[in-house]
Amino acid sequence: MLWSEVLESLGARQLVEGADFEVQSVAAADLLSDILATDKEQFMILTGQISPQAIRTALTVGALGVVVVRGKQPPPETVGLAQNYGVPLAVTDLKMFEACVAVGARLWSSASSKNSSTV
Amino acid sequence: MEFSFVEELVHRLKVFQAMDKEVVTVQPDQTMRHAQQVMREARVSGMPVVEHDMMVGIVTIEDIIKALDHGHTDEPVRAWMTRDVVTVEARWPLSRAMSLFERTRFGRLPVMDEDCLLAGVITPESILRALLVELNRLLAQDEEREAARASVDGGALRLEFDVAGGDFDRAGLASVRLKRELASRGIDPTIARRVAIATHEAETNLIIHSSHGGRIVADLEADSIRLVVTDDGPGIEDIDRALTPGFSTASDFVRNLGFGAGMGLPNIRRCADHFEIKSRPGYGTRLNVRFELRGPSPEE
Repeated sequence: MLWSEVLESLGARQLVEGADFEVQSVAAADLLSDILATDKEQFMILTGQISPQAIRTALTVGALGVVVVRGKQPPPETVGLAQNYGVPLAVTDLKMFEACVAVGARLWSSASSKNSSTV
Repeated sequence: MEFSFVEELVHRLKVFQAMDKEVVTVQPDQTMRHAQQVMREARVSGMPVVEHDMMVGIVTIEDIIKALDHGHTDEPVRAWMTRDVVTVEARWPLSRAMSLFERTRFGRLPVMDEDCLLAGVITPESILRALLVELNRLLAQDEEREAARASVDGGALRLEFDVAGGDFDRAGLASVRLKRELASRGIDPTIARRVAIATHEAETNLIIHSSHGGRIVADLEADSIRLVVTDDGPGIEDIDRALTPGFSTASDFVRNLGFGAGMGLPNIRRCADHFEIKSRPGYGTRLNVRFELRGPSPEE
């Protein structure tokens, strides 16, 4: 699914915009250490962390975009860092579980429409 | 008098870097009432009047008030606009536009490109915004540059990072800097990612646990990348436990920042091709990590 569809499904507000891109997977965690341990490719981050570390972690693991849950407003340092490095950043009012469900539903429906095989 | 940093900045930045490119305009034969509506919707206090791509004047909120006073709001913009417009050129330094604002007290100035076509509008607010964005960018660059000392010896690149204990604001700087350096040298992105993750974890460990900070030395050699991470204490009591996923001695404060989950060392080991750790309580810890550069190497 596309990043723009992710934002739509989450009703997210964009703080740092970027060109649209394909999202194949999501790393959802408040622990940045857990995100650093992911093997995912072509993925975005859902997190409750709003410190600049969230952006640096995204850069380290090559995550394509970051959505902050629970409507938390990232401080200017975080937004500035995302801007400088071109990391798309958005905020959703949904809580982590609801956000995962919303993105997951869209992600799996778009995956199954492309690939009809079932598990 | 010495030029200040800001003076230098407003001289280096050009008008086109600070202007708003999306400009609301009116045509000269549209009515003043229409102009008023456009201005209200766009929340601007003045706008260029454009005919066949050429700017022929400017109409401001004051012109509209004048027209209203005389009950002429149905008249065309052409009749009330200012024809003698002060403009700035896109290539001018910001300083020149700023002194023009100071002199004229205008709230906005149309920007003309080399072909004398309207390229945008510049306002004191858009100048301020451009300055802030540029300052931010410079700050990030400086921070990154300061984070590392780079040296090249016989084709091998060495990056050295001094990491201060407790300085969470800088966690990840070394990692991001190193990753960018590897990318610019054509290192396979999947390897660069593993190196960056290991560096990020090592950096975070130094920040959380070390008594006096530590050092990360990254060597990029022909067939491998080596990381050596050292600190002078406190040392690890039980290395086997430290390598157990989930084992952590980090404080709640650190955990609230999203770190200290007990995944650091296991994650470094997972990413690396070769992993060695030596530690002595009271003396310090030394981490030796290597990544093989398999596959087609960048052409020499």
